Amino acid sequence: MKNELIKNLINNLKSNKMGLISLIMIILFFIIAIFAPLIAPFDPTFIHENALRLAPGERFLLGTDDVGRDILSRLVYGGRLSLGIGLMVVIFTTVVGTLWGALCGYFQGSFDTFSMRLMDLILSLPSILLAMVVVAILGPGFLNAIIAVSIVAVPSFVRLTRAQVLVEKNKNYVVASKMFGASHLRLIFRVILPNCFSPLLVQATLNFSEGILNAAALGFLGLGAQAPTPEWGTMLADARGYIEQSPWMVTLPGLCILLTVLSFNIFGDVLRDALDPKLRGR
Amino acid sequence: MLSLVLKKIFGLFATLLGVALMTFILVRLVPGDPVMLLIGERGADPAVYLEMKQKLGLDQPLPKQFISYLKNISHGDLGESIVSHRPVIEEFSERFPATMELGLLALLWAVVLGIPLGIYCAVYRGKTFDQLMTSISLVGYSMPIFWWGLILIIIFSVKLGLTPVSGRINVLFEIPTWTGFYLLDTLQKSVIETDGFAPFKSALSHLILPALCMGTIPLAVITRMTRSALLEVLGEDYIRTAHAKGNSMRRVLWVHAFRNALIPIITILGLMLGSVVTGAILTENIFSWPGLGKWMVASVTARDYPVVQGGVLLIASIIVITNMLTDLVYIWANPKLQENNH
Repeated sequence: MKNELIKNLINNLKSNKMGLISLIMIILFFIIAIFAPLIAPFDPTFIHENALRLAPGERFLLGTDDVGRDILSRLVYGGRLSLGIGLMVVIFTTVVGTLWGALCGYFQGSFDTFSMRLMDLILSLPSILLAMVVVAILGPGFLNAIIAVSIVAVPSFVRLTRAQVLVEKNKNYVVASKMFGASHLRLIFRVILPNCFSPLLVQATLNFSEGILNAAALGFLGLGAQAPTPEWGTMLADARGYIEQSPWMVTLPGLCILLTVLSFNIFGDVLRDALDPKLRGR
Repeated sequence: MLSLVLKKIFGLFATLLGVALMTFILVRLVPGDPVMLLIGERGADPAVYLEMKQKLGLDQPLPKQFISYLKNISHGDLGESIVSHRPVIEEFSERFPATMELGLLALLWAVVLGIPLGIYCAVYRGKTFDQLMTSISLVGYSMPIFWWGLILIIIFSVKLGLTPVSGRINVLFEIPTWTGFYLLDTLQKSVIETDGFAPFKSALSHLILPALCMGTIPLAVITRMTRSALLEVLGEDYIRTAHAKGNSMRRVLWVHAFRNALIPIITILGLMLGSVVTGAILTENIFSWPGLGKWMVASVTARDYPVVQGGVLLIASIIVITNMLTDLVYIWANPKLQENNH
């Protein structure tokens, strides 16, 4: 199953140049994030005096911001933060969402009904509004923004897992395992869930990009990471006042967000096609 | 059909009750004492404190508090803003038209451009134009619109000097409120008599850039959806039959295919309201648009809990009701679903 997936994926990437580029971009982002201290020319929060809002040039490759910090270094460290956010959101939503959804789908009953109503309720609110509500309760800040963005992403994962488990649990191989005396836990984790793997993987990829986007949006609204944290959304918010004089301050962080989110979305599409060739081209 | 509608309406009330419960719990999750928040640290005289607590009903048990909260909601009483000391419902209704006007225009251009683009892509599937548009719509779909808005400002306002950067209209014009939609209000007889069409032009020029920004993601989604919905229909047997009968390409497309492809497109439009609200929250903050999104962000920042509570309740209710209406239209347009009794 997994070998087949990888084979499909490689085949798809061969024919889909965009997909290949997106994968290379993602790998590149991770390399930059991991080796940020080696790549960034300066400390991202160090204030260079007499270097306020310098245009991109020799010493500061991508210029400096309104208090004299090197933008390139901030972007590199910002990438680290953003990928960290994405990873944390994916880990949180995958663990909580899979468990919750699997329990709902497997046992059904009143817990399931209650959970589904709750998920419907949460999904009826736009994610960024809900994240704002969570921030209103917890207070603004980087960690709270991650919590908010993670909570917002859980319901779709729960519903997807539940739907998958509902489909799988009545199939013959599950019934057979049950007859051989497999326990509930074994049935859920060893028998059913591994067969729900593909759609959940795609959803996780999408959660990654959505998490990054939502966290940046919160940062931009002043409700996420606070200055001087080099978070891309927060950097954009700081740069707003200098649109006219220093457009590079605005252009670069946003471009980073766009490229990251785009890469993950394209890769998610390729992944979906590789897992379910019927959907190709939709 | 009727029992289905009744079921839906019952479900709607259950959801609205859930939304009310959620907003009720929300304020009680906030760390710290809500009474202290309202009267401020300095006014913490024990007598004042007790009086305030009784006035707010916070000395009652929780279930009782929830019931009186529901009662207040049913009277349209959503409490008072801590910052402005004005009723939440009043502040909401002032800003609602601004967001509606912006949202409608954004959706309008997304639909007017997106549906033809999607049709064109589906008809010429796999050609250069289709591939190009598919890539562009993917970029549009991934766009951080809070950045896109700033880029639009750099291009159209700063470099080209075509549009103003913020607000709804030149503050020099005084517009009597009629619908709350400035594009309509500026066309009132009294306004035209004094200032001519200048206020209308001013309102329009303020509206264009935010609407462009806010419509970007819906445009990408609509183009993609139209393309895939039409492609699906074009693959059906009855389309081949229609071709075989000698119908022209144009006739097959418009009479046979497009009408059937329209159902999923309409559904997506109805469900897009949520993303319009998201768009409003971000766009309004970029362009200082005095609507609901800016209001919500300001109240979260100021920790103005009654406003957050009331605003979320009202926005969620609007979304839930629209979703139900979309559901009903969908069922009405799709007789198959009526039999299955979903």
